[in-house]
Amino acid sequence: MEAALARRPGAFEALVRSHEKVVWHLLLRMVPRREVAEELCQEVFLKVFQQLHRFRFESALGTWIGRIAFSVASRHLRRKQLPLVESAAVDDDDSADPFAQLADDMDLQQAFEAADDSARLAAAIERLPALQRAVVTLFHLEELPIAEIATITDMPEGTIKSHLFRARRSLRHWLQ
Amino acid sequence: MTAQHDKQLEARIQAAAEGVGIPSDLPAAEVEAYRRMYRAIRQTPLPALAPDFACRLEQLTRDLPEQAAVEIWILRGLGALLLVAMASLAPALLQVVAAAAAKATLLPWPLLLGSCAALFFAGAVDRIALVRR
Repeated sequence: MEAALARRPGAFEALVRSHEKVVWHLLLRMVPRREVAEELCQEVFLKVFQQLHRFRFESALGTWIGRIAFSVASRHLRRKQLPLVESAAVDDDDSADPFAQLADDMDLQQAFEAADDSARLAAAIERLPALQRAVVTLFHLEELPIAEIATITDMPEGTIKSHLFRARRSLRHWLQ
Repeated sequence: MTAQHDKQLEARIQAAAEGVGIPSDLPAAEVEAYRRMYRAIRQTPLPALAPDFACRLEQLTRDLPEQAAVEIWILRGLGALLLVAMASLAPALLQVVAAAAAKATLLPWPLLLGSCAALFFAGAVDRIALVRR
């Protein structure tokens, strides 16, 4: 990091290489359009470059970069008027049947039956709200602890646990 | 069984699926189903980022200070041009300002001030009337 701050050749490239995977997966899950995710990924690392001198070692560098990535993705969703979490009605109803939310999309079940497991899972994950997609990705794919996900998303740990629970339950039902 | 109880059981199943083994009081099939799902999330391939992404970023960040330096020099040049232009036009500008000042003394100032005061008074009355309505 010191090398990147001193702008030594290749230092920032190394920094990007060591954190690009987490940022890319997070953005790709939150903003499923690949070309948009690529633009945002570039924006995230340019922000990292511009603000690196402000990093105070209060958390791991990866967590700090994750926070920037999450805030860039959230701002993009807000600008596009896409919800980060599901609507309040669905959010409050923990007993809601996930299939009930798919009532207007009946061919999805057929698509599930026809496709292989990976495609089914990818389709099911896409049905989740953006925040739940992010939480599932950070927890299961990147294997980050709940506390770190809470720091990245700037949300209480309890909220993250609740979103993780609901995301897994929905996925389980959809993939059944 | 209540919804709250169902939720707690589901949460225990989810948590058990994160570890190894299956507690005897939990349905093994459910735990295994969650385990398969967790595995699938880890193994489902995601599109990869361009392999030269980091290299391009490095190039971009190297260019940024250079671009900023060029922009700063352009701004400085424009500032200098503006100063030269103002200095060369100063005599003409002074003449224009002096002429405007001379004309201003010819204006009927008492009439203008009186009109402004009347407009201000009418506006205030209108506002008070709006507030009281």
